[in-house]
Amino acid sequence: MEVTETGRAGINFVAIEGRLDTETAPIFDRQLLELLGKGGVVLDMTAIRFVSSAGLRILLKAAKAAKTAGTGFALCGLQPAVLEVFEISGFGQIITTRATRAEALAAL
Amino acid sequence: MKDSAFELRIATDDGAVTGLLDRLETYAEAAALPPRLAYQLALVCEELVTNVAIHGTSGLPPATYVALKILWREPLLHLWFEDDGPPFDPLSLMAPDTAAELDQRDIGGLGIHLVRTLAREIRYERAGPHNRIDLILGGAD
Repeated sequence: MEVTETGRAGINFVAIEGRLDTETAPIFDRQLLELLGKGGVVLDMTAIRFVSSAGLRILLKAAKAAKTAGTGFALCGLQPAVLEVFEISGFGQIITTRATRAEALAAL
Repeated sequence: MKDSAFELRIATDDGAVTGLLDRLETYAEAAALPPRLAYQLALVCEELVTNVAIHGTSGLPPATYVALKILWREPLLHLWFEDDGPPFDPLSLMAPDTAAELDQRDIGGLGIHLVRTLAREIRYERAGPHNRIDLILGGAD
């Protein structure tokens, strides 16, 4: 997990890689909630090649946590297969999802 | 085009999913599955095996294994799952409300919903002490 500044106060870019599955979701979950405790997050998923329902769960949890805290949470860089899973799940309507980091940041 | 088959038996007692996706990725590469189908294979297997590992092991009698058989016969990918847990028909579950707003969205039920949506055909049967699911992925949308 790589955290970089966006240039906007209180919002970070967070890049993750690999699979967001049953094995890795609990780890990402902890790290993501910790970061969301400090501010908004644009999660760059360009290097994520797999998301299962376990991964969807932690993204939903993160979106709810950001809403409660009044910070922002948006995604960018979803691979086509990941995007398909998002569409089937209806996640495209409940989590801000954009093609690029700049677009995701602008949406927050 | 040669048929490409793969079989796997997973004990549910030591983190059933550990290593499963790596093995499926290796298979998918060797069988030269189209990327979208390789993704669907990994997703369906993770959802169904995790389901048995989490829910099947808390019932009586608990599930001790999940067996998985895969047959790639272009353009279709056939999958067979069998476990020895208590009767559980995943097709009997209600689909989650995928149109609900963020606050109303429930965390559960998504895995089976994904499996049912992606499968071209899916069947469940209780055969003696076994749950069996066979499903087909691939083909034209």
